[in-house]
Amino acid sequence: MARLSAEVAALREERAAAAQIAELLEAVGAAGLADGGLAGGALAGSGPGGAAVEGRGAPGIVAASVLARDPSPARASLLIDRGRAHGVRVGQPALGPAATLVGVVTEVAERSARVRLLIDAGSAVTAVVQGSRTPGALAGGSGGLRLELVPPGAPIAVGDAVLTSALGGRLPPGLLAGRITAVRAQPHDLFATVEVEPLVDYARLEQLLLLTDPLPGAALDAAPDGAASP
Amino acid sequence: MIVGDAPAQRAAPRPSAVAAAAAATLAAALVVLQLSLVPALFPAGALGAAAPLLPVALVAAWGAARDPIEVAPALVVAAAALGAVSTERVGWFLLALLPTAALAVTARALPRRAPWGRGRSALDARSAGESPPADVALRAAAAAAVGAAAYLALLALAAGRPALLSALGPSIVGAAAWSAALAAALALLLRPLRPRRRGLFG
Repeated sequence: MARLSAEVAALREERAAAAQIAELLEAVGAAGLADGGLAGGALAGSGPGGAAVEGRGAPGIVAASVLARDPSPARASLLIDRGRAHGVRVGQPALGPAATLVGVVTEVAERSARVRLLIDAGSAVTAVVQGSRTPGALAGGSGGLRLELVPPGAPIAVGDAVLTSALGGRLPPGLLAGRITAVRAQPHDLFATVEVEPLVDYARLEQLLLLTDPLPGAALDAAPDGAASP
Repeated sequence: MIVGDAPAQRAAPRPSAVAAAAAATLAAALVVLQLSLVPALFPAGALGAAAPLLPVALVAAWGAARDPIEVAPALVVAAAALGAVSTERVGWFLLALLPTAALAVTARALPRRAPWGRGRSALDARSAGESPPADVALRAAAAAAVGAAAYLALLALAAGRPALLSALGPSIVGAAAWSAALAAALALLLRPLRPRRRGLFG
């Protein structure tokens, strides 16, 4: 009975997160992102002229353009053209195409900010596997994304979606972050090796959406980098 | 005795402040291209892009075609511009560019093939600017290739991720090849601007 009520609570939480995302998408549509908004692939990196961002004053959302990528081969971060003057703060999540989480704001200047991408080797955010609610830490690295701190016997499978978790209180729960592509675990392993495929081509990001209004479960500016360390 | 005809009596070309300023300006422009055009032409995968490193190519080419001393301000400008948009410190970019400059100096000191005989250093009898174009291009390419690999390796180490080096292998090879080709072409373009020794009658 307790397990059932826990599942019901988890489903409610998931539904609330989905509703938030739906509201977010509606707001983005109202903000007038070119070519029908996210569904039309406006943020899919369709080129400098094809993804004009307008209506950047949508409540709770700031649309930003990518100014530059980090030239260091060991870093994965983006410089964007929105900063403190536009309501950007450290810790805010940055969304890419289809409202997928791509990174977290780590530095803010008056009119620019830096977003550390999830694939950065120093990035780690708390996450859960959608179906089984298995918690873990979604970390970046040279081989892409991986879900860490997952027990070997966890009920996860290839194809499961990985969402952000409210654990740690730094990110809104329920944001889509990736999809599991491989699960490897030996009986003697302490943790399973879970590879996660990003749902976004990070090399082609040109526009981002920053969630400037803290959603339930999120505590922005709680940490200098807005990310939890495993 | 014919004064001015003997090579030893000709005035050696000195590093030019104007040329150094030009190199620094060119470096700033190339960094802008590196940050804007190169990512568009060479999209990076999960493990980085096998893309040319324009500042490295410039330093190698300038050092081979003219004087490596003249690229000192360009090193600082390029490192400052790269560091401004990176989470990495400016000093690491400067350190990463230094091997290329050192290699350019070393390449100039290598024995040259013609026309003054084998075994003679480019630093003695005449300026390296009078070397055959193939020699200049070869020296620039060699300095750029090794310099690009050193640049990427140093930045990976600076980030505290030596394990990244093996993963970056293909990217490093690609970057070295592209940078070498670009440096050779740039050295040939810069060759008409090489410094020449001046005698009594020009």
